[in-house]
Amino acid sequence: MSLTPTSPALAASQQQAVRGGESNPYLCYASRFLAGRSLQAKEAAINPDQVLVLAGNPNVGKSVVFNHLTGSYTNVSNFPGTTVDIPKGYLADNRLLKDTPGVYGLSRFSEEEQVAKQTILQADVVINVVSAATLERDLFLTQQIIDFGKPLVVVVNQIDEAQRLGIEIDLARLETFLGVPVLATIATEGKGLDDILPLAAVARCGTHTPDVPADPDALELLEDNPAQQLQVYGQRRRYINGIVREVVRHLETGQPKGWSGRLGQWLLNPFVGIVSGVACLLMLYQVVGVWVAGDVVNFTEGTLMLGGLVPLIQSVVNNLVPPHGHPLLGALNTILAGEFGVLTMSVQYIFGVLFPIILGFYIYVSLLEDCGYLPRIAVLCDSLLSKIGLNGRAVIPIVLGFGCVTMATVSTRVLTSQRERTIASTILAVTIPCSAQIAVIVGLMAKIGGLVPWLLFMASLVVVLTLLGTALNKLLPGQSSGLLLDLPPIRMPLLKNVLKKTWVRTVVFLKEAAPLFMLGSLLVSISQVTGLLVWVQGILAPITVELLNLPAQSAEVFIMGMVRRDFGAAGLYMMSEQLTSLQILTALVTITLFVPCIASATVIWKERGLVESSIVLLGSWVIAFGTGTILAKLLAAVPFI
Amino acid sequence: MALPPEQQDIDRPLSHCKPGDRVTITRLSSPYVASMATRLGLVEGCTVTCQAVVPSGPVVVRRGGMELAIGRAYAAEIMVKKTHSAMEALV
Repeated sequence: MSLTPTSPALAASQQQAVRGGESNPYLCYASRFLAGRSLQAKEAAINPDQVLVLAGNPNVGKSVVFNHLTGSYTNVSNFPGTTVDIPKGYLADNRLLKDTPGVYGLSRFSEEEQVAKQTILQADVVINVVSAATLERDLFLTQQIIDFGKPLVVVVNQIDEAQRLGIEIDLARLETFLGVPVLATIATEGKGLDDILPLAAVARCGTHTPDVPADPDALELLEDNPAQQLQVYGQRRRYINGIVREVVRHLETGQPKGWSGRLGQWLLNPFVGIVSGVACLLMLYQVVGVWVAGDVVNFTEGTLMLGGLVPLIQSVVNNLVPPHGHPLLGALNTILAGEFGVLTMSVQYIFGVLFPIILGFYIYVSLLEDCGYLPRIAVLCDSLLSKIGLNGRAVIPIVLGFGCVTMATVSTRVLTSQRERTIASTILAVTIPCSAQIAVIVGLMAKIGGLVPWLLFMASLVVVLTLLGTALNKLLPGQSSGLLLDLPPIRMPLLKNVLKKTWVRTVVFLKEAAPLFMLGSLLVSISQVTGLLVWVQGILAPITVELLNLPAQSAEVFIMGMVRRDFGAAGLYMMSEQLTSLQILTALVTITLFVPCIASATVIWKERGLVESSIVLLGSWVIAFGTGTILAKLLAAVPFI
Repeated sequence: MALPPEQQDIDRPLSHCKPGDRVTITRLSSPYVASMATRLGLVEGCTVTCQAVVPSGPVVVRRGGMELAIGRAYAAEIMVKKTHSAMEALV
């Protein structure tokens, strides 16, 4: 069974394994497809225009493999006609490598699956990452790619996790059965990853499932037909399970051992789930809400911005464009460096307030994601979410929504039906404050002080969310789909992964937010110098003054809120000195429920169509001012704060 | 003397299982659930362990290294019977 490796890369990795005192037999395994060939010969045969595609089930370590193979030269672009992300990167030899969303098969159960299917079927070579711990499940996709006639290599990852579960795999026999090169790796430790590319050079079309059409078009026709799909899937599944019986040995079929298994089990207990969920929220409040939004922002906004950069910008602008002189120059000065100045307020908020808080929030979310906690929360929330026509899966877009509603609206594509996507994107647009907004909300809440305003704020949002979701679930035709969710094992998060994810998300956010934020301050400054602002204030005054008990100039906050939600909240921050605690709270709830920012509105329009997006936007006006009014009148009668 | 229903070898929905039960799938009722389950490796005749049951929520089952949460509505469409011998469990 054991083969002598002749490729330098494989030989080196073997020596390394031996030097490191490793006793892992899998990592000394060399594919017979590589044996007897020299690396140079293969390099000569490489076509520089070749496109490689990574494919695999969710949570098998695909992104670690992708990052390893492409280094830091990656970019994320949308799949044509959709907004599903396809990360792309270049290999050391300049060939293109595409990543795909994690899927269990090439079907059409969600938009992500369709994108994955198209990308995989367009590939020249597929690198299929499977988990050794869940080989039986993962090989369905592998065999489906083989049946569609794509050349591929199979990377059996997470060998260490399989060993912990007492699962042993005969890789040489697996290779024989599948008819494609197979390699063992432990991606999180970087083991075996350098052998992937040499192996991809000898990718093969494997052995087809018996009695399944060999022609890809005929097969696709058959699989897309609901009546025949199950039959094909059944044939493939039986064939795969036959292979698995031959190559996988479960030394112990029992429970996962160690802290990971116990913790994973424990977190599914509803009581533990509630306690841990509340603990997570309190920790988020303490770390991001108190420490970052307080101490860190005091330094970045107070010391760095207001104490240094902003006065500097102001003096430069004042020198170039004198504030007192020609009225036009004075107006330009106000636009550039006035109360809502394009150069002053934008810089102060984007770098002084938003940047540190968003960084903190994304580190936190990435940690929760990486350690396998979020899917367990999804399981516990399933029955609650099913009452508003969603399932547990919707926890992911909702949690992401607390980061960026725009990004989260796009991620509703993981939801199965159009019905669920309508409900989820409406709830996101109306009730979920994004991190930029939370950033300013947290700052303002710190001014009121105490936990009671926080509880009132959250209670208002939860009530609106519940009513809105229930109404949508009752009104929309059809039926929502149920939950079918894979739970990855609880693991220690990889610091490198968490930091990389956080950094990419933060940069994407800043790139998207900064220009709109500046545009917003430009528009508001212009309406300020042209007198438009006072005019709109007059029109909105009945609502703001009579219903919400707010000063007339708070109308400008709502106008700013249409550009970016956080921008509106930022305007509120500016005038918070003149407001009572009650007024701040009322205004915060209203601005949170108010229209989504321009970026999310555009995405909702693109994703959900003109009619649906118009209803959502108009509805958010009614809901925002309605809720604000109720809260203002209620708190005036019963003074909680 | 008749055994209580949960000890008899009769089919029942997965949603009626208790944590720790080892059960064999006997039937997948709806075509949609059957297609999804087949991709994931849950087919008629395969054995799973019930890991957790969230009150009026999903059932979590384990098979090998795979842990899968199945919503209550779907779990009601998967019929199972208790697995008795260790030999049966290996299939």
